[in-house]
Amino acid sequence: MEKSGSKMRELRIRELKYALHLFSSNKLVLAGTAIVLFYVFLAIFGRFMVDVNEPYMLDFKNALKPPSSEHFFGTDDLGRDIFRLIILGAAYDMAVSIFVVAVSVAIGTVLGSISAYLGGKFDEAFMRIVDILFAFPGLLLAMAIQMILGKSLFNLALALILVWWAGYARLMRGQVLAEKEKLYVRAAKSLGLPGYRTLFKHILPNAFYPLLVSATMDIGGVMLSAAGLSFIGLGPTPFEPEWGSLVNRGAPFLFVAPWLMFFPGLMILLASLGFNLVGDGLRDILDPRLRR
Amino acid sequence: MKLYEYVIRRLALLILVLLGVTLLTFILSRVLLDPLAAYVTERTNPKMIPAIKRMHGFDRPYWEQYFFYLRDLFTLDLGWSKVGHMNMVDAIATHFPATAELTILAIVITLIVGIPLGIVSALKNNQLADHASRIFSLIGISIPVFWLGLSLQYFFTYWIKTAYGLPALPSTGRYDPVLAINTGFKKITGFIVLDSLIQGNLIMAGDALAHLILPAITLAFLNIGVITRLTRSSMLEVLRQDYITMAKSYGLPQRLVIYKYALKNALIPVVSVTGLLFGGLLGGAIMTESIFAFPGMGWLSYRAIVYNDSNTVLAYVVVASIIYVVVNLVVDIVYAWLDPRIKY
Repeated sequence: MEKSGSKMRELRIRELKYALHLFSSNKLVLAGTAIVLFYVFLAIFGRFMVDVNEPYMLDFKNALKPPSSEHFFGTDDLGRDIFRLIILGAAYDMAVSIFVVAVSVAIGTVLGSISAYLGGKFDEAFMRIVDILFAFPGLLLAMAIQMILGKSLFNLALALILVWWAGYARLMRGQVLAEKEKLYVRAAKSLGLPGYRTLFKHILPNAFYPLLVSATMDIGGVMLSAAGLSFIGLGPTPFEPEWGSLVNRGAPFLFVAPWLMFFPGLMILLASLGFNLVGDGLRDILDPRLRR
Repeated sequence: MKLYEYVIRRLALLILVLLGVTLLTFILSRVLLDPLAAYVTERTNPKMIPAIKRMHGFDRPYWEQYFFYLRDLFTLDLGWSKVGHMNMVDAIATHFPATAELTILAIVITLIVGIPLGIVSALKNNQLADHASRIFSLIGISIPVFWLGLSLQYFFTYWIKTAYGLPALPSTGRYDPVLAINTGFKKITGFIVLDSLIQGNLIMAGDALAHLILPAITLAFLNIGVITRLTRSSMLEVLRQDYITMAKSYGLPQRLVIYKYALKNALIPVVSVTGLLFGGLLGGAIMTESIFAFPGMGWLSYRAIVYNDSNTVLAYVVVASIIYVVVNLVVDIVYAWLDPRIKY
């Protein structure tokens, strides 16, 4: 027992090292990681780099000024410096997207795996609920929930969670269904392990990889949806410089001052691209069939 | 299980899902949101409110309202669309063709660009062309649609005109109404391009296409990445298979092996995903249509939810979900037909 345990550990470590090697030799993944780290840095330290009162510093004499050495990305219709607003906005966008994905993954994992493990009528009923959520136009559902709860950044996150968890539940259910039939699960059962323990300690770790990949890529997707909703006007107040709402503010000035909408949008594109690059690479690395 | 049994089972589930969708929509727009919002303004006399409630049946218990709603759904008597300013059935009949036109053009562009890119990417695996097309498709997946739409508007309706004096593309709307009157255009099917071609009205067809092109490019750009990646991975998968090796070892020319033998099987998943994209887009692209003020289903639903026109929301969601589930079913059946290895 002891020996095979340590051997397993050794194998696992070797596997991890190999994955790390693949990770660091893939230029696209490295570029993605760099972008993500840059954004995480902005989100955490942004408030120390620029004045946090920037969204309130109205300066109408300098409104709609094009990019210059003084205002790198120009100023908006209220004379606020867009460069500084964007730095402050990083925290909002990153927090919302990571929060939404983390909570959705948690809900989806628990519900999806329990549904697959129990099977039968419960599973059937649960999948119908997921089907309904899938058939319902997602953006519209998020908009409706926002209208009910009221416009705020937190409610935006809640609305997105309600839309996104179903995807993870479905993915996790499929994974657990596939794992459930494997020999080690039967072995665990015959040893008399309680069901919840088999599920959470043995099946889940094996079924989790695909979820991890899709979650990484989804952070980018959620960021796009969140920014989209707040672009539509269902999001933060004008004093929370979330990037989507900055684009929304810039849209009426499109032909007069295009920098208003250009730079915040570019930031969203880059952030989302970073997460997608990492997720794309992770999939290649974690899926042994794609390795070669 | 036989195919027809499968289809019947799926249809039964479909009805169940649609009932769930109507219930969810009903709870959202009638119970949790105030349906009166669409009918009451600041100038409405407060004494009128009970009468308005009674007129629309909002004073009845919820379960009664829900059954009346279901009845109206089956008799296609969906009431008045406040944001569409017309009868609901008419509103959907006028807005749906707009979305359909946009969807068809967007899908055509997606496939024309996406499939060749995917093939090149697979054949030049891990070379420069592959990396370039992978990055391009990742950008397509990562781009904020509203930003892309606004940027296209800026460049093609403003910048090319002011900087180079080139003719600008229209940034909003579906066609030029003045042009429609001057050329004596008449609506027949509601598909503007088709109608003007039937009438031999080439000026109007060109105008409608010019209005379609920017939103179609916006929608296509988001989906090109999906199609490219799928074509690439499925092509790589197929190229590894034995029958391809055998075809090569027979000495068949490379071109024949790829385009006749490999591509056919590689495109099966592409067909099914294209179907799903089609179904998703037919329900209306809320963002794109709102940015380009393109009067399709997405635009209608956006306005319906913002003004809480519960009638329109209810009707729209049902139409969009019917399209979604039916397209899903059709795609699965077509998939089985294309690939006989698939069993149910």
